[in-house]
Parts: sequence; C-alpha cells; structure tokens
Amino acid sequence: MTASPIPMRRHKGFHLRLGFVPLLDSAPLIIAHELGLFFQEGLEVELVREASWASLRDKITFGLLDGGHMLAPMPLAMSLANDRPRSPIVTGMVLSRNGNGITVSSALYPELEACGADPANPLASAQALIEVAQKRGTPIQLASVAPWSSHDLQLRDWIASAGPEARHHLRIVPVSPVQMVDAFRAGAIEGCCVGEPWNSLLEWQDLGVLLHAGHQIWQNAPEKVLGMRQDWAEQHPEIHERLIRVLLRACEWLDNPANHDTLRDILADERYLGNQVQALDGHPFSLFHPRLHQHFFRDSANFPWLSQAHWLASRLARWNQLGSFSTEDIRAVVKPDLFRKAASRIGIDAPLIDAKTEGRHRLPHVIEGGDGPVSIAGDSLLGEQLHRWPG
Amino acid sequence: MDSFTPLRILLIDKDADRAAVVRKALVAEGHEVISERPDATGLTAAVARDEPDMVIIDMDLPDRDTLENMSTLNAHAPRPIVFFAREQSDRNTIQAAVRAGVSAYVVDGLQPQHVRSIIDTAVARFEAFQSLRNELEETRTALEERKLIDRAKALIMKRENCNEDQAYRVLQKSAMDHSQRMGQIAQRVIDMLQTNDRESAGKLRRAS
Repeated sequence: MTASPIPMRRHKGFHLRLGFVPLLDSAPLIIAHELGLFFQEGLEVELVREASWASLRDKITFGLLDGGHMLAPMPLAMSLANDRPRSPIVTGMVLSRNGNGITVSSALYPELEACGADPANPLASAQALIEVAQKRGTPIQLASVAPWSSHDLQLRDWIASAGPEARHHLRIVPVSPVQMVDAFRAGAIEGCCVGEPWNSLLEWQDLGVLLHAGHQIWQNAPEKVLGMRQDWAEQHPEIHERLIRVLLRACEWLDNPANHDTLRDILADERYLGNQVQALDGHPFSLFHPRLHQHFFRDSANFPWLSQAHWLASRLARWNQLGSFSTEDIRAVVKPDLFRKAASRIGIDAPLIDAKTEGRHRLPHVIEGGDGPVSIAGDSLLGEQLHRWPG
Repeated sequence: MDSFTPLRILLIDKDADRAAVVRKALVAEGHEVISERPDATGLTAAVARDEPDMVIIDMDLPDRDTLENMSTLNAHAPRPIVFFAREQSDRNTIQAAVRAGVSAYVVDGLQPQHVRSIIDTAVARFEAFQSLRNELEETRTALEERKLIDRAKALIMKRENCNEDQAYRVLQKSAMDHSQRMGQIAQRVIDMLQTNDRESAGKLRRAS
C-alpha cells in the first residue's frame, strides 16, 4: 500500500488560530484568508472574530488563540506589565500605520473654529479646546476607546500639548467604538479618538467632523501589529516566518487602490465587518478617509522598529499604563531580525538598522537596506519632539 | 475564618434566558444581583451608581473594553479577573471561565476563594446552557442531513438505475473518500445532479 504524502498543512503545528477585532485594519488577516494566501504557504489558519481587545488578550493568554491582530502597544503592555501576571508576546511585523482620527461633534466644531482651532495645526486646536471649556465653565467630555491603544495615547498626548492645566478642563470617559455613534447622538460625549470606519461613520451621519488625523499627532505610527504568544513563536519559527510572508503579500495587495472594491465586498461579509461597512455604502470615500493616510505596505510600513516600540512604551509609561522598562525588554518583544529573514525570502528588503531617532523626518526618505536603498516614511511627532533609542 | 459576605454583582449578558439562570443561581447563594443590561452609554454610569463588588459579563460583548478602560481611568473601578491569576488554582478557574465565555471584573480586596465560587457558579450555568444549545443544534443538523441524504439517494437511484442500498453505499464511499460528512456529500450530489437534470432538460427542449 502506498501512503499518499501528507500535505504540508496537515503537519502538526501548521494549524493556527488567530484572533481579530472587526476593524478596517484587520484586513490583512481577512484578505490573506479570502485570497487563499495562507493555504498557498501551507498554513491552515482559523480566524476567530473577537468583540473586544480584552477577549482577544484573554484567549491568547490562556492558549485558546495562538496570536492575532493587536493594537501596537498591546504586546508591550501584555509582556512587560508589573502590576499583574505577564503574558509574553512577540511581534515581528507591523500590519498597518495610521487610521485614527480625532472627531468632534458637529456642534462643538464651530465653537472650536471660533477660538482658533485649525485642522492643519493640532497644537492650536488643543488650545482652542481648552478655551471653549474655560468659557463654558464645565469640562468637555471626550471618549477613549480602549486602554493600551494608540487612540488613547494620541488623545492624551494631544490634550497634554495644551499645557499641564488642560486635564482640568476635559474629562476622558470610556466608550466602545460600536457605541460611539449612539454616544454622539445622545450628546454624552463631544469628541473621541477612534479608528476607522468610525470617524467616517460619524461624519457620514452628520454627527461629527474629523478635526485631526492620528497622523498629525504621531506621523505614520504603527497602529496594529501581528502579535504571537512567545512560547508558540519559540516552538514554530518556520511557521511564524511563513505567516509573516503571507501577511506581507496581503498588505501589498491592500495598498493597491485597484483592489479596494473587492476589499469592500469581502469586508462587508457578516463574518467580518458586516453592517459597519454596509453603513458606509454611498460614502464618497468608500473605505479609506483621505485625511487619515492609513496604509499597509508602502515605505517599509511593516518593519518593526525597536525605536517606535520604545516610543510607544514611553507613552504607556507616561500615562500610567506601564511601569519601568529597559531596551532589553523591548528587544524581547519586538523582532526586526525575524521580519528581515521572512521578508527577504520573497524579495522584500528591510532597513539594516533596528532603531532610529523618531521625529526627525517629515517626508519619506531613503536609508540603507540589505540589498540597496529602502524607502521609509516620515516620522514627525507632535510639537516637533525627538525620541532617541537609548540602546 | 471564611465568614460569608453577600456580594453585589452586576450581570451583563445579551442572552436574557441565560442571564435569568445565572442570576437565580447566584441569588440562591445569597448574593445581590443586578442584571438589567445597561444601554450603550449607560454602562459607566451603572457601574458608578451601583458600585458592584463584581461584574460578570458575557465575553462576546464589546462592552468589555469599556470596563477595561474604566479600570485604568478609575482606581476604584473593578479590575479584570485575569489580572489576579497569579496562583495555579486561580489560573485554572480563569481558564475555565475564558473557555466558557464568562469574564469577570472584581474590586480590590475581595477574598479569592469567594470570587472563585462565584465564577464557578457562573461558568457551570454558561456551560450547561451551551451544551443544551449544542444538543438542539445537533438534532436540527441531523434532521436536515437525513432529509438531504434521502433526496440524494433518490436522485442517484433514478440516474444510476440502482436500488436504495446501492445508492447509499455510493454516498458513503464518496463521503469517506473526501473525508466529508454524509450530509455535505449529499448536498453536493443534489447540486450536481439537479443542475445536470436542468441542463439536459434544456437540451431536450432545444432538440425537439
């Protein structure tokens, strides 16, 4: 009797369970699945939709998922926590950059304009926000969607730019993205920092106006990353590389506008984003708001910079969501070498350095890669801050 | 040492039937349970107003991130139970809860064994509910599959001019060959043979 060869995906360990939260930037996982890219690399991937980051975190911590789509600060918060049991995560790839927006209510927007808010100048808008609150004599309520998120950190950094007194004039309240439209309609909040499609939905329903893009707070910051359990990653280095390669192909596909109609149809499926996408039917921007500069691939978007992770960790620490940490801690979580190895097999080059000074470049520029020059995106930080990698 | 103190528990579950069962079990253990599901913006207000010692919430609700956020914004708000999973016994309890779809938030200072017994109660009710639901689902699937198999058998008998046993064996063999359930194979046979029938009927009409 001749045994038929076992297909690659049947080997133990090739079956993967990855979690995602149904947001526009979960698209790399969804597209890789729908285009059959996982299958082509011999991976059998089960995508599991989670209603909250908290559920995703718990299922990964307790081994019900191997990893998944994560908020960029999440692997740091899970791995380096001091006040609770740690759940070590590694990340070898950024899935998307930008995509958040600070949207304020349609009623608040003209008040801010009258006080000097300027969509081109987030520092002026933050001052205007405080001025409006002072005039009213009551704090303005703004919503944060989740702890350990760039949304929360960008909102706080923006407010803090108006000076130490600013926090007395504002209140940050928790609201989940799915409840944002209702919260605006009820007047419970007057602004938020949230991802897509929620800013577009608020604008489309005339409830809010996009005041600033997250891009204007931290230019081209990593927004979502691939996070895998550290023990899984240690046991399956080859599969991890394949996974990164597949997702790189998906990200490249996503940056091509010619694919966006197909993308929209796929995301509108009930198993993915469903009615969130359907609600945007007829919207002039379709999926990608032109002010948000959300992207998945161009300018080495997927490279996991140690210095950017260090910046995120410093913001978490600043806002009391993380204790002290070292450069070694960051290296244990963020794996640029893993990325280089995986990407080079499909001819995608990466920077030779692991870290840079963040905040120095406004424009895309070229640095040295393994096979020649590679393009990387601008990295300005609000208020022209510079952030040096201390390692 | 372990004197019983009733706790005030906020229960949030989109499944009203399941919530009623969990509530009853916890009340029977002497706890006070608030189980109306607060609306979109009311969760924060409800937690502030009712000051629950513990929140038990269906893992599939997006409200979880709001609770997580509250616990970082307000030191008195209940914190996620996973943050307390230091000892193996606690890890086991919490893992069972995650599997069953129960998540919980507790205020600082509660007795661990006290919290464990509440979680165990909620998990047991969630699991019982799930197995009941699975049974119903299996019964429904089995019925539908039987209907599909009967239709597929009839189509094969007509086309191959064979008897029922032979038709059944054809289905059984191809289910094994394709490692699919009989019901799935039956559906494929129906799709294929019915399309053929329609096409050949079309051809006949055109030919005549």
